Amino acid sequence: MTDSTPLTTANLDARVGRRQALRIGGLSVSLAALVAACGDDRGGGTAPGRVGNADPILSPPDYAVNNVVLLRTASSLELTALAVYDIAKGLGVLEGSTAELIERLQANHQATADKMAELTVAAGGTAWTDTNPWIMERAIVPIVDTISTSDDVLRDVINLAITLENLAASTHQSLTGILTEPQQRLATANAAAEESRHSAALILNAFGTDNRFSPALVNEDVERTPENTVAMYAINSTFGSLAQQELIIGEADENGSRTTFLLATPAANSFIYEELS
Amino acid sequence: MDLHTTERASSRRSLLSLGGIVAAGTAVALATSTTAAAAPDKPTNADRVALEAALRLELAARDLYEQAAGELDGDVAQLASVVGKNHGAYAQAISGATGISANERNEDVFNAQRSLFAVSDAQAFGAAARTLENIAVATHTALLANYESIDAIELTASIITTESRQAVVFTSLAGFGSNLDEMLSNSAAPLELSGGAA
Repeated sequence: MTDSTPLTTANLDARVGRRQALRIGGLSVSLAALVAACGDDRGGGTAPGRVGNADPILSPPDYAVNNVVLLRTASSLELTALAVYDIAKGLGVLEGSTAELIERLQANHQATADKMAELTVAAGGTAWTDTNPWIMERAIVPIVDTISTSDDVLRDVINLAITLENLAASTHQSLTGILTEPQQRLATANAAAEESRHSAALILNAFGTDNRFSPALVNEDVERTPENTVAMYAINSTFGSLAQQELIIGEADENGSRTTFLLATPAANSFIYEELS
Repeated sequence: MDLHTTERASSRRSLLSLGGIVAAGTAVALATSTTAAAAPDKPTNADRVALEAALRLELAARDLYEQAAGELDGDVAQLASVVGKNHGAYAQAISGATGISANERNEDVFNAQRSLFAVSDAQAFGAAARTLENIAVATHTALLANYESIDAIELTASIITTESRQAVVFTSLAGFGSNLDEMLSNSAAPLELSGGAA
């Protein structure tokens, strides 16, 4: 496959995996290919065997993944962050400088969402003006449920905010390498920079100067906090990370363990395709 | 080169539309419809010129932080050392992507900043470092707009994100921690760099 092949859900893994741009995971590994690899002396069909009367397996739709889809996805992530901050404010634990900071972050996310919408329209698409339904349903709802019964709601809200800012920065960083038009790349690069600033500002606001840089940068172990949550640092790596984000929140069990969530940058299952409305 | 005057009171959003500031010799207009789908993986000749300028900026930053680490004490000295090593890593990464040796810093930048980094006062150091980080982010961003290759774009994007975090840390150290405009915005103007000797 060459770089000029149009990007679709069918070839996304090969293209994006090669560039190590978005974290796709193994969703698109072909079962047929796995079966075929088991031996070359088999007769009959190559489809996986099935038991029972389940509905026939349908091939997933082969939607195009183009600039419009990527920009709509970027918008959806910004609006998801806005929605999460609204939820956080509703919990009534944000005060003082932290509340002021969150207000500013919301304004920035709205401005970035607007910019992505503008670019979407300029690219010939329809702007996405809602949250990301897949991320909201699969990640945010269970996370908020967990926080609602936490022993320290403020701690968890702050850690969620930092995690979302890191995720947003990683997403925009990824998109910068995938989008095809310079003005689009410039917008996502600026968004990545701004949301990195958000993350660092939240960390300094919440944890102070002890968390300026990660111990990993001086070859020391990065340990959990005394409350067994993920320690957050303003300068967390040498290069911008595209790795999944670990979030540990909620009430501790009898072993002191809390609930862990892993959040990854948007992929084939959470893109806002043009077919979505 | 007066780096003190390069931070201007432009709007927070102005960089989103930043367009025409490029490294000399890389006059690839924003309007060029070079697409990532057809973009080369490896840096083109035009990319290499701009990346060499970026590399030399990073080496100057590395040396400035190394100098500062020798003047400062305690946690702030360690912070300077960490950030200096990060800048050295950026130079090495650019060198690896381009094949250009990472052995010649931008002397203009270094000489303009060296007295500001030769301080033992943490807040003064924070002010100088904040300015340098913001300028580095603005400069990389301006260069990124014109890169043709995927490697140059992706590497630069990964540098911008961490340098933005560093800028926030130093803005706080400089005493602007409660000023959200200063913490969250970058009004610095990019440097106009040349790929050859400064």
